Amino acid sequence: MKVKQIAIFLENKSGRLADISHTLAANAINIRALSLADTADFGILRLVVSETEKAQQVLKSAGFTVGITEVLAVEVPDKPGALDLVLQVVSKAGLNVEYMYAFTRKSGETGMLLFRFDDQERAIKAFQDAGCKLLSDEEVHAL
Amino acid sequence: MGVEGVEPHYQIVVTRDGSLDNIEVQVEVSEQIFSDEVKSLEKLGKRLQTEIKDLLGISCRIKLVEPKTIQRSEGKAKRVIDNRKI
Repeated sequence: MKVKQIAIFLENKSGRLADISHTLAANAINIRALSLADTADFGILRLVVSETEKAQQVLKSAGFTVGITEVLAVEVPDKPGALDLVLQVVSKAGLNVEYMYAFTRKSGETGMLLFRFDDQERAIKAFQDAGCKLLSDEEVHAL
Repeated sequence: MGVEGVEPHYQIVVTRDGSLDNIEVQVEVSEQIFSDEVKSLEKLGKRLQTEIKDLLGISCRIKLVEPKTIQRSEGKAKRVIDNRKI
């Protein structure tokens, strides 16, 4: 039920993001979802890619600090109120969202919400009890 | 300083703002200490800041930098860059 994501440490320097995209492009790695968290000094780029281990390896070779972490992917219909329904489940369960990002899989059809919780196991149970559709690692990477 | 996971490579940059000297300590982020959560990395910076303050009594700013970005020296490492114009 957990989806592998790679996270990359980035200094706030011009061109670093392009160095990452270039490394991934040169190795034919496809980006499925992306989020960039920024602070005054550094950023953390989080990516769900077609080949997680290969991406980690090539980015490491290019000199980046890379980690693999797990997130939860919830599939929702692409319509107003879909995010709210999921966040109501999160709120009622008293779960703490560390971060989240979202994207549309097919306009007008489905969207995907990616979550990192302080307690991932409890979040899985809350989503399952509420009937939310959690996507597997295989499903997300095969998009 | 024994902060787990912090690379031994660091650099101190001294600048002057008016009559005040400012110290910035640049520390490389290794894979062991890297986290996908901003708050964990910010907490690490604060911990380093506190340890330096406790140990030396000096307040400084911590800047986390990418690995291998601090210049390696073949001999004596250049640890301090003094950018003050005195």
